[in-house]
This record gives sequence, structure tokens and C-alpha cells, in this order.
Amino acid sequence: MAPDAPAEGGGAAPPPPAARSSGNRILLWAGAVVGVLLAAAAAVTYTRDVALDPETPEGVVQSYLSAMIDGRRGKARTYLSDRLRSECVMESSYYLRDGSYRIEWLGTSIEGQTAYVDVRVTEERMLEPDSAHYPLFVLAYQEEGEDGGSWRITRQDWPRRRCSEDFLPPPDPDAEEV
Amino acid sequence: MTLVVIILTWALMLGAVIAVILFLTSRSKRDRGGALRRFFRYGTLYLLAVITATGLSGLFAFAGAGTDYRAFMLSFVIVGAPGLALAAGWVRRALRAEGGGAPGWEVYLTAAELTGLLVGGGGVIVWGQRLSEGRFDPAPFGVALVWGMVWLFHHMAAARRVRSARLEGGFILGSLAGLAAAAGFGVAFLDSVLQIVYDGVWGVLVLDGTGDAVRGVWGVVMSAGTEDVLRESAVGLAVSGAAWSRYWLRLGRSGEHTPLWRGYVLLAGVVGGLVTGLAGVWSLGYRIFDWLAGGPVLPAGVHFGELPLALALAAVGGGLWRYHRGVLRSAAGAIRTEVDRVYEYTVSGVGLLAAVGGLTAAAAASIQSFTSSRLLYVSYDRSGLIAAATVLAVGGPLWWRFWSSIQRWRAADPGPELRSPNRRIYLVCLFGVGGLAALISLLVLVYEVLISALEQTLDAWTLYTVRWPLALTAVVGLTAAYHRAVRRADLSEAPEADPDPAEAARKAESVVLLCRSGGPAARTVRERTGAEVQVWERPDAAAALSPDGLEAVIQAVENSGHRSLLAVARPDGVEIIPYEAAES
Repeated sequence: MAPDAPAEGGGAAPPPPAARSSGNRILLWAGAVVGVLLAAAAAVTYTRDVALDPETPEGVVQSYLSAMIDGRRGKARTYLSDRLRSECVMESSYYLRDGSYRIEWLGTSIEGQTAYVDVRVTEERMLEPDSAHYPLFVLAYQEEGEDGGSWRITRQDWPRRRCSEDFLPPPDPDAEEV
Repeated sequence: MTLVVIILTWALMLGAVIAVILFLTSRSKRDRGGALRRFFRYGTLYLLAVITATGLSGLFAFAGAGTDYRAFMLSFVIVGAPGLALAAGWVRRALRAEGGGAPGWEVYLTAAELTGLLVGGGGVIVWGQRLSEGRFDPAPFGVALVWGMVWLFHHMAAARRVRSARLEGGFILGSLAGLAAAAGFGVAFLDSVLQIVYDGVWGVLVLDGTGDAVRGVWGVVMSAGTEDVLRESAVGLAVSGAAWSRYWLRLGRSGEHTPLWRGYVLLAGVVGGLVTGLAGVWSLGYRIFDWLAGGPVLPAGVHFGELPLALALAAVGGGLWRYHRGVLRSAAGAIRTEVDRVYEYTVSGVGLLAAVGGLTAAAAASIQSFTSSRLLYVSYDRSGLIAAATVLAVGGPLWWRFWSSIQRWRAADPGPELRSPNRRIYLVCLFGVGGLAALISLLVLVYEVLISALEQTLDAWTLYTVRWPLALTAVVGLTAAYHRAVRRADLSEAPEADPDPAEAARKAESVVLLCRSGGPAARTVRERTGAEVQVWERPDAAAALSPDGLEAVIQAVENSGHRSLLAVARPDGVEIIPYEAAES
């Protein structure tokens, strides 16, 4: 059989579809599995609510990291302690936006007015294995008038390690007197 | 010390070349001394031509150059030019003695012509770009002039000779260089034009240092960067397009359909165009769907900033694909031939690779989404899924369209399809390479899992870290298994012997056409009979093969009862002479 009308792809038109073979059945099953998998992944991705309670220490860390990676430095600064807010220089974080990150919350322990938030940061790089590190965030509860207070970051191992109170010079006692 | 290393390196390279020549001549029982002599003769001529041309072109950049540079270029001219004159005389005498048919001369002509084309063409492009900026730069002008003359001299010398496989190989390589450069400059040019339109649509106002709007060609507002790219790519496109027109449209396209010719059309034209076009279509689809359903963090103007490039890639790639598909189709007829098959299997393979890539990325993104329980932040969560689905949506339909067409042919007329070497190569490659890739992925997967198991850290994060090898093993393994099943089915249904042994015995396997401009006739004989056809050119005017003569050759190939035939074109028809290769 050799129909003589030219086809789009080659020199001759393909014959009409034949009866479904066992190979095609395998393909149909594979396609169905892939379709279901993709639909389930899309459902999980689109329905998942990853926003934590912003009043909790881990919620503050989440808001801070999102603002930093998305390049909203002014917003990020609001999650820092008063001292860091006034003394820490927030450099440009464009390199963060170019990266690909997956940040997981591993746990929070609270001791009095101090909270310790452990996270795992996985940086995905093209054609390289994922590299994970485990920065610690330390937060202090700051009283703010009659409404209560909020958790503020006083130490961070990532992405601005030097923007931690440990790295700042000790407070000037004379300045306090003034 | 550095000089010693350089000399040793060159000596080693020379020794390796001589060893290769000796090995090849010992296998082909050719004259070893003659081959070595020709290598040194034409190698010396080529080296001296390069040295002299480099020195001469360097003289144009004397103004402002340092003493070292001047001395270097002058020494090249002082030593190279007399040496070149002596070597040219040596070669001329040798060519006269050998009757001008030395294969080494054709290799030299091709190498020198292509070197002239690449260096001279590059010089013309840079010089033109400088001119378009309004300044005359003598350095690229010198390169363009001197190397352009090198190209012209060797191109004309090659054109005066009867076309041979070596010279046609040079035409194809010239076409390849022209096509690659023209496609690259074409994408850059179209991207710049569309960028200007895009900026205009979005109302982007480009200011220079003084706060004034930058006005480029015809007073259109554009950034200085876009204007530079537009100007430079226009010059590059004009020069490389001219080179491609000369080499492909005038010389290469009508040539003998050698494996190199087919390789150029299929790999550079069809596959190159297809991959470029698919990249553009994917980028376009991804930008749109990511904006609609993904997680874009940038404003629309920035998010769609790569739209002009995507459109340029799609247009240039699609154009290349369509054109080269047309070249292949015109070479074939209405009957399905191996040319049709190689085209369909190639396009199907490209589509399958894209689909496998998309499926793997989709599977990895799915694993990622299922292992995300306590996420604080994730980049490209939805965008990653959309990127994978878009690759799948681009590659999948392409693969299915061509593969289902191939399978319909196989079901309707199994004999020719099952006997096709292209089908065997396609299936065995996919089964073999796919199986190997799946095995390597499995190795990585097991290694990663064992590390976590031995460190007792096996959890959801382990599944996340092995998502890529896991996805690759599953998808590539499935692909390999599917093609193995198809191959097994082919083997079980393959005809045990040729359909008609008597017919096969009558048919000639190879034919030599001795005629003038026998390329098209050779293609017709090859496509209609499947015999291996070789053309020996006869330059005399009376030796063209008439249509009746061509039919006679085809009839002789179908019914001669001999394995090999020599068909000699004569003014009154064609003489068919059967022959057998003598055992030596």
C-alpha cells in the first residue's frame, strides 16, 4: 500500500489509523498514569496553604525569608529587632532572587522570651546535587504597648549572617547616659 | 621551558598525523611514501598561506601597535611570502606531473577555502559593524581584504575543477558555517526588532546620560544596547546570508546526495531548526502559562521581557525546519522512501527527547510537591510544574504525530517498514541508550538512598533529594521498555527472507554512472531501485544522460542479473557493462 498524496511530514500520506496495538495500550496506560500524577501534583501545589501564623516565631521567620528572597528589603527589616533595624545595613539581595530555594521548618523551641527556629535550606543548582544547610534563627519577644508584642529576629545564620546582634559592637554605655 | 613544551607538543601532533597516514595507507595498500610526500607538500603550502595571510592582514593594524606586534607580523611576511612562492612552485610542478588530479590538492583547496571563508567572513562582519558605527577600523578591514582574497583564490580554483566528493564536502561545510552564523544573527536581528516593538507597546522610555530619549535608526526610540545589537546583527546576517546563499543555494543543494549532504540537511537543517523552534515555542508558552497560573513575582513588562527572543527563536527555527523539510521532500517523490523514513524518525526522535525531558521534569516536580509538608518557602513551585508541563505539551504532540504516522505505515504495509535500517537504528538506539541512561540513574538513586539509610536519615527529604534520578529512572526506563517491546514485535513479524528471492537475485546492488552532471540521475536511480549509486563525471558535452537513458539504467538495475553495473552515457543512448570487483 502506498497512497500517493503528499503528506505534511514526508513524501507520502500515512494510511488511516490501524487497530489499537498492545504497544499503544501501554502508551495509553502510561499517559493516564502521568496525567493522574500531574493532576494530583497540581492539586497539591495549588491548594496547599503554606502561610504560617505570623504571630508565631516560625511565621515571622517565614515572612522575613519570603521578603528577603523576593527583594522586599523594607518589609524584611520590619521583622528584625529594634537594634538590628537601626544598626544593620541591609545590602541588595538580588542574588537571592536568582537562586532556587526550598526552605523547610524543622522545629521551634521556646525558652522564656527567646525562641529558636531551626530550618533546612536546600539550594537547587542546575546540573549539581542539591546542597542543604541548617541555619538557626533566634527571636526575642518584644513588648509593644498594650496590644502585647511580637517576635523579632535577633540572630540569623542565613541569608544575612552578619545582620545578627552577635556581630554588632557592644552597646555604647555613654550613648545610653545621653 | 615554554618553548620546549610548544615544540614537543607540535612534534607529538605531527607524529600522530604521520602515524595515522601510515596506518591508513597500510590498510588501503596505497603508496605510503607518496601519501607522506603529499601530506608534507600540501601541509607546508597551507601553513605558509596561513602565515603569510596573517602577516599581511596584521600590517593593516600597524598604526598604534607595539614594537612586538609589528616585528611579529613583519617576520611572518618576510619569511612566509617567499616560502609560499617556493611552495606554490613546488606544488604547481607536482600537479603538472600528476595531471592535476591529486586528492591532496582538493583537500588543501577545501581547507584553505574554508579557513578563508571563516576568517575573512569574520573580518567582513567586524569591519561592517565598525563602519555602521561611523568609523573606519583598518584592522578588521585588513583581515577582510587579505583573507577574503585567500577565500576567493581558492574558491575559484575549486570551481574550475570537476566537482568531486571532496570538493562537495567543502561546499557542505561552507553551507553549514553560513547557516549557523545566519541563524544566530537572524535570531539576534529579529529579537532586536521585536524588542523595539515590545518596548513601544509597553511604553518603555529609554533615557541616555543627559536625560534625553535615545533615538536610533529612523528616529525610533530604543536603548543603546538594542541599537548596537540591531546594527551588528544586520551586518552579520547580510554577510553570513550571502555566504550561505553562495555555498548552499548555488553549489551545495544541487550536489550529490552524499551522507554528508543528508547529514547537513537532517542534522543542521531539520534537527537544528526544530530544536531552535521548539525552544522558542516552549519559552513563549511557559511565559504565558506562568503568568496565568504560575507564581510570577515580577511585573508583566519584566516577566514577558523574553517574549521577543522567544518569538525570534520560534520564527527562525520554524523557518529553517520548513525549508529543509521542503528540500528533503523535493528530493523524494510520491512513493515513501528511506528519505521520508529518516526524516520522520528524526523528527519523532527530537519530539520524544523533548517529551521525555518534560515527563522527567513533571515527575520530579510531582515528587517535590508530595514531599513538601512543612514548607516555609519554595522557589518556582508552581512555575516548575508549569515549565515541565509546557515542555511536555511542546514535545509530546510532535512525537505522537510522527510516531503514530510511522506506526500506521507499519501496520498497513509492514514489509518495507520492518526492513528499514532507519527503523532498526531508531528503535535499537532508543532501547539501548535509554536502557543505559536508566541504569546509570538507578545507580545514582540506590547510592543516594543507601547513604541516607546508613546514616539513618531516611525520610521524606531523602525522597526529595532523589527526585531527579527517581524520575529519570522511571521515565527513561519506561521509554526504553516501550521501544524494546516495539522492537520485539518487529522481530517476531519480520519477513524471514526477501519477498521474492528471484527478483532479488535479478537486481543489481551497485551501479556506477559515467556521465556528465549525473547527480540528479543518481538520486532517481537510488530512490527507485534502492541500489548503491556512484557517479563518475565526464566533462565532455555529449555525455549527458537522457531521460530514455535513465529509464534504461533503471531497467538494467532491476533485471540485469548482475551484482554491479557500469552505465556509460553515450550520444546515442547508454551502454550497460556488468562487472565484478576483482579479489586482490
